[in-house]
Amino acid sequence: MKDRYLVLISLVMVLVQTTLLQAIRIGDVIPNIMLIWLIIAIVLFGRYAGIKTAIYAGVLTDVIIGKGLGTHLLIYLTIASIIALLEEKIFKDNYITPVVLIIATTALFHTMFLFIDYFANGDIHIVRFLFGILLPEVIYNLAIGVVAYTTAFRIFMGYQMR
Amino acid sequence: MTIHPHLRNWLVVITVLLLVITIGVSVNGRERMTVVEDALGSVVRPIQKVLTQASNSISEFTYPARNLFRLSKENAALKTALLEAQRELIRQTMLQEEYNDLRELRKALNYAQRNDINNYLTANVVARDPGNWYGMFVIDAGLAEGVTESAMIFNGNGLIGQVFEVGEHWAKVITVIDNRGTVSFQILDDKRNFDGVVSGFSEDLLEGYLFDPEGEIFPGDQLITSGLGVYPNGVMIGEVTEVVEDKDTLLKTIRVKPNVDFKNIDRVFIIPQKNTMME
Repeated sequence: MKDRYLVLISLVMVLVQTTLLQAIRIGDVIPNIMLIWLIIAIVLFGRYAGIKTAIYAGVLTDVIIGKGLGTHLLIYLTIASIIALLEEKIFKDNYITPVVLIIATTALFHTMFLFIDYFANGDIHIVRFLFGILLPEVIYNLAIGVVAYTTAFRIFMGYQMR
Repeated sequence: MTIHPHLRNWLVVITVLLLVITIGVSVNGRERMTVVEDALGSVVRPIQKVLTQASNSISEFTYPARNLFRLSKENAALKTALLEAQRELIRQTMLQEEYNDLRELRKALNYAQRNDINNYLTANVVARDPGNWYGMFVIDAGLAEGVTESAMIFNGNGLIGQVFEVGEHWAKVITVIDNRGTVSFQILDDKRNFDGVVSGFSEDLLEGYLFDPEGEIFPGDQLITSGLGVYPNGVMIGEVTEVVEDKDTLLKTIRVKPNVDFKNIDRVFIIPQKNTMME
């Protein structure tokens, strides 16, 4: 996929994440569509497109709403790099793949966010993190992410997943 | 494009180092954003405003369904009545004769006093934290409208937070429930004039302690800003829900439920940072 489309879709994702998605909170939690988009970009478009997506999404998020310049960029690049290492080895058309990737990336995203916050402020709240944010968001991301991944797979790969 | 593995490793190390340095420099806020950031923010701000209005409309429309078992209307009416009573209580407490005596004393000693709580700006929230931490949001007012870095943000319910970074026509706000900042408080009681600090603990709780370990504080006490630090005095913070005495540190840890619902902030008031003014 061309870079301008990656930038445009990343920008749309950031705007939707920070505005429209707030209206569909369930239990005060919203899904993280940026992570879902990142997974789709790396797995379906290749590692280099995925790394570029991570850079565009990270920079846009940090500039528009980020707490520290580089926070989201570092986290997305880390996630993208790890998935990129596995990209050629995973079965992209298997339903287990998006489930595992969504759980792992959501956990990694919030863990890194927590540690960056810890080094900035010296205080973290594990209980709130685990039960108030991570667990509900994993469930919500799975509900939306699997559907999004399946749909994107059908569109870009041209056949159904197994 | 093939990159030599050795060079790739160095590239990764240098990138991570640069990002960590950038985060370290910017994580506690900057006085001014770069031109590029400000330009990008200015471009997306109108789009965010429209989308947020749509989001608010959807939220209002789906609220009864999403909160089927809550007695929302009765609850909202009760809260409104309670807030009015709290505001009246603050006004009455601050008009007490001994407070006026202290003000006269302050004048006589030529102390500086902040008197800018009535000089505020208003703004709309156009974007919210993309995660689920409720620590940040974006407003549609910036330097051009008079917003300054560290300006206080509040609404009719009480203290929200302060401006973190400011552009020409927009600004990022960090809320008090983010564990980054602390708020100094005093108890809203003319007999128990104890001070302390609280900071963010969760999306609906603050945690803190009294400066005086012997000070008395009880669940149900109302807390307002004390005027120490960046926030002017007299702004409602919330209600004490729990008091825990730590025998090791001899401090009383308190948990406070903020008056503000950080998940549903649409419009805010801003008090820009100014030099304190002599009376």
